[in-house]
Amino acid sequence: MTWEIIPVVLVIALVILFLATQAKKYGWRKAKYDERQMMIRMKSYMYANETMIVCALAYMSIGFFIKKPLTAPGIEALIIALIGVAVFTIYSIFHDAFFSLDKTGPGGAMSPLSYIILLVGIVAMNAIATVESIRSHELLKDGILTHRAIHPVFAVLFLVILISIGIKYFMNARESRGAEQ
Amino acid sequence: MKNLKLKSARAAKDMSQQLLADVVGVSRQTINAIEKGDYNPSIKLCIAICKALGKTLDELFWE
Repeated sequence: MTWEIIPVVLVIALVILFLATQAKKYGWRKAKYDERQMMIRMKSYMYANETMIVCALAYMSIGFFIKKPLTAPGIEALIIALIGVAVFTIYSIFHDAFFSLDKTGPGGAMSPLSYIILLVGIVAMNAIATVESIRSHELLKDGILTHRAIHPVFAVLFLVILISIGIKYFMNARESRGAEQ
Repeated sequence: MKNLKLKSARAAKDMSQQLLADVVGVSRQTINAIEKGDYNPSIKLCIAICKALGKTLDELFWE
């Protein structure tokens, strides 16, 4: 059992090393946003908050009629939080308020490319974990989603974020060409 | 409502949206949104744009 934790520790160490390298290269500076971006980010928080409230209410309503739990303890809360993150991120991306003015990632310490590489890594790891969970029949236990259900949720969430960044990149490139003409 | 006066003043100075954005310290998309009339800038940003384009507030932002 103990050897199973080694890859997890290794992955966490790798991510910390990657972030530390990026921080050394770009510095832990505070991300700078202009007034329109700040306003959009505020709206994004508001929509994320409202979405999470609606999801929580929906889950509570379902729980009122179906007495049996649908997921392992804590998973539903994590999924609702991730939906909130998705709303905030996607709204910010499509309104050009995700990456800061100095083109750093949302934390202010990464370039967009490094951020995309990190996202690809997260999607790949979670996709592998999802396939593994399906193969070993560990995703569902007695009709209840186990804690392993978090892997497909993570994979889908970060994949959607990646796709959104890609779509917005091409939209901006086209708009920029149009604006200069 | 589109701000055509801003767009033409920028074009007269031969400035791209990106260049104007860099001068006033905002993103290119913010300048684009102001020109398209999708965003109402603060007075602080209006003044910065006017200074960058050598125009007055009346010339760029008054009907």
